[in-house]
Amino acid sequence: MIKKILFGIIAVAVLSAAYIGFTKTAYWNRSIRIFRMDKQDQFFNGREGRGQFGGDRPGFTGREEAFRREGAGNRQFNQDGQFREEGRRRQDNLPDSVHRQFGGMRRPGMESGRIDSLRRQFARGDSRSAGQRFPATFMEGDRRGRGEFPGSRKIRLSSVLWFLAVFSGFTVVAIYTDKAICLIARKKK
Amino acid sequence: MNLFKFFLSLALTLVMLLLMDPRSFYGLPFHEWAGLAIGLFFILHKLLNWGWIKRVTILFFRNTTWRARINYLLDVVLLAGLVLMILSGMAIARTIDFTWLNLGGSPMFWRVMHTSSSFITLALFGIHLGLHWNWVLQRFHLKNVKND
Repeated sequence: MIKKILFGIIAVAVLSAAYIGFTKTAYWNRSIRIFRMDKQDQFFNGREGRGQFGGDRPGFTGREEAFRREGAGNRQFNQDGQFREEGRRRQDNLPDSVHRQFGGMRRPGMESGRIDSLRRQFARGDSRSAGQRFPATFMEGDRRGRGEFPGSRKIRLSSVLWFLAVFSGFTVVAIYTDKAICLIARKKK
Repeated sequence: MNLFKFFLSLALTLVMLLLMDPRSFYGLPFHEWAGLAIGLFFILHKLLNWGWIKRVTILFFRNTTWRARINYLLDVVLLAGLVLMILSGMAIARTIDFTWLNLGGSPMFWRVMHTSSSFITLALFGIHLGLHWNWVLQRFHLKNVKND
């Protein structure tokens, strides 16, 4: 009996860890993403240029298409008289170096170095995952783009542990489901 | 032989877990080479259990247990998942040149396919292990039951 209770406690602990891992790794969304592809088709076409070894980079066609769509949106904003606000917001999002490159167009009242400080704060290799303001998820890791693997640490098993938890969760569910089915079948006999 | 099967399965599980995040273990080169190796591990795993596969294939529609049928179907889906995983991995590979395969399709499609198939396959691996749990316990001499 004690053995059964102990196994039960272990199973609950594994299932809890699996649940956390399931949410942390966005397991469900990433598993069924392939089945939602037809809905997101325009995004897939837009990144064709990121092929294995470059090629003729047709992805720019997709990017241009995205800009064209965005531009159409801006024109609508223009008609509503909200274009300036949109433009200003975009300017705010640019780093200082880009501002300087385009003639130092800065909004009055903007503190100097403010955006660069943000860039420093979120620079690669900082404590982004430990930070409170910008919690890292595996989804974000996906968005980071190919080839941008942090080179400083060769072994980083924290995400593997979450996957292990999810894997173990599925195992525990299968074990207990199997046991339950066997028990029901035995009782029927 | 059973011990070899057990350690092969253990290696398969560990490598599969390490492959789930390309950043986790020695970056992309390990991810791509180990991804190919896992295919070979899987083939070896199936060859070692070829007797069971042959038996259930012959008896699938005739005289076999529901448990064996479910395990068989799960194995078929696992095989499909693994093939998709490796194929999509080849299509988006960066350290190994697979351009000669001419797989076509957009890299984003293959990338999403790679992620989805690997996540689904890992879940199926977990279920597969759960359904063979008695066999694992037998290996540790914790249970004296025969698993079909």
